[in-house]
Amino acid sequence: MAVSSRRLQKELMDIKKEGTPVGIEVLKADDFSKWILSVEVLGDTIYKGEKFALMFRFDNQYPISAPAVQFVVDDKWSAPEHPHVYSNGHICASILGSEWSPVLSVVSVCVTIQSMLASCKKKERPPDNDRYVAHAPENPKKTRWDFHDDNV
Amino acid sequence: MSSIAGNLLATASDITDSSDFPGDADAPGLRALDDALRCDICRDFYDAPVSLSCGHTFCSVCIRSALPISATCPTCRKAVAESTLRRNVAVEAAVATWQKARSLILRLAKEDIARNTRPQSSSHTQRHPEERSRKRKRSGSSVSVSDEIVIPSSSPVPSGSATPDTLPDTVECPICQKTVLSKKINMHIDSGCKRHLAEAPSGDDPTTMKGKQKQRWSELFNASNSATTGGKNKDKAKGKLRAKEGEEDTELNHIPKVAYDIHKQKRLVELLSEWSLPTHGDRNTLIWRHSKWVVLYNANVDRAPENRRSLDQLRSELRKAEEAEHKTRKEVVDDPVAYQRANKDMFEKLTEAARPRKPAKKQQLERAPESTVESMQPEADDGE
Repeated sequence: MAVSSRRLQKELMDIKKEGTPVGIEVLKADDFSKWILSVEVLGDTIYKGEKFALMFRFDNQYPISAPAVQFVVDDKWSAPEHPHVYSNGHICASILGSEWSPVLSVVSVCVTIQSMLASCKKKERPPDNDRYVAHAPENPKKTRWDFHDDNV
Repeated sequence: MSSIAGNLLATASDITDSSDFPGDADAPGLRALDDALRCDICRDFYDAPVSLSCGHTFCSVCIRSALPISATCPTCRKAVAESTLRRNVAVEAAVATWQKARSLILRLAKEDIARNTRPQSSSHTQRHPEERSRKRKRSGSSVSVSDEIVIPSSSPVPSGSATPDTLPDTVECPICQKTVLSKKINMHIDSGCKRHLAEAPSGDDPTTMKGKQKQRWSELFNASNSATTGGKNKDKAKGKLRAKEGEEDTELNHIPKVAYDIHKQKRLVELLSEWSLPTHGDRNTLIWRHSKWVVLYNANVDRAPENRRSLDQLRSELRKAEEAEHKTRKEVVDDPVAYQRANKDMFEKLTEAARPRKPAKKQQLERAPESTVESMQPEADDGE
């Protein structure tokens, strides 16, 4: 069995036995290539009452290589309005790119995104949203990200 | 949660997890103990554990696969060079021992909880002391196991690491990270990192090297036995040196890393055939295969001698890894149905555009767009 499947199986067992952190739920995890989890920001934030779906796509190199993570954008779900989230669901977060570490996991990524949303003060799209979305590759991992904002 | 398919976990019966143990309320520390003996990358028990200079420990295969992507500790992000990895013999012994004792302790822990929830059980008082004694016996035997592993294998590690450090005028080769005399570094790199290694006297002036080596060994000897004087134990040091050399014949060395970019395909084939590995496939396949082999082989060197696998076993591991790689690459990258559905509009547009000019080649074009679409999407050059 590929290393990625073994590791994902373990993560799934962990989730099943110990549950997920508050505000995070597994929506779909029936194979080892694509999982979907829902993320809800708790407490008094600008995203109060909103729920978002995060899609994870894994390759054979996971967890050595980062999973491709983006918000689901379809008729049921939409991407949160956040200065690091493009309207096509792509997320500009360093831990999904150059700062990925193999000790991170699906749940820890969800928690990071959750806190990224929780600390946001103003709902807005990234300044280059339209330009990026028009030319964005289908897989966010193919984008060469330039991380420059450490504030949010 | 209900959407987690049962069949994904059904195949997981051979996979153990720290959550097999009851929580801290019922069995304090057991879950944490099981967790402490697992690699944070693969979440399995440490296999050939190696420590980084920051103190974090990972499986040799895991960290050797991760370092080429980011030369930092996955946990604390401190910079790491692959040459500084050191076997962690104590952890290896602890894992081996824990794996032996695990099922028994798991059963005892579960029985203990069952007893506590049903205190009226009549067999309670009878069973208890018997298990106590069994547990004690077990832990006694496991101590001897760990002793067996720790003592013989701990000696080569410090000696191997001390030798290059004490050499004068040496540098670390930027490619293979072995220690090389600074004046020989260019010749060393020209030879494809095969010759002029500082530890191997064969490529260098034999007489001076021998003298230096003797001196180093006697220094080592003095350091460990401060009671004896340098002059008197010359013969003893010689004897020890010889014994050491004999040991090193059976001691395996790591394969140096290869700078694949500077080699022609022919050389890659040679590198693979040196280890009797398959040589089919394109350049990238050859590079992938050889680098994977280096990881598997070097990780095997990091195992305790009694746990090492044979070259044939390693070759079959490589074959399995390659098969898995091939399979997933196909599934993930070109899942044709989903891809076709997702890009239906694009396909139709392209087919439509091509139709009036080349009606005969319509079928071919319908399959072709997969690659065309991909190349039409430029890499976005900026983030937010």
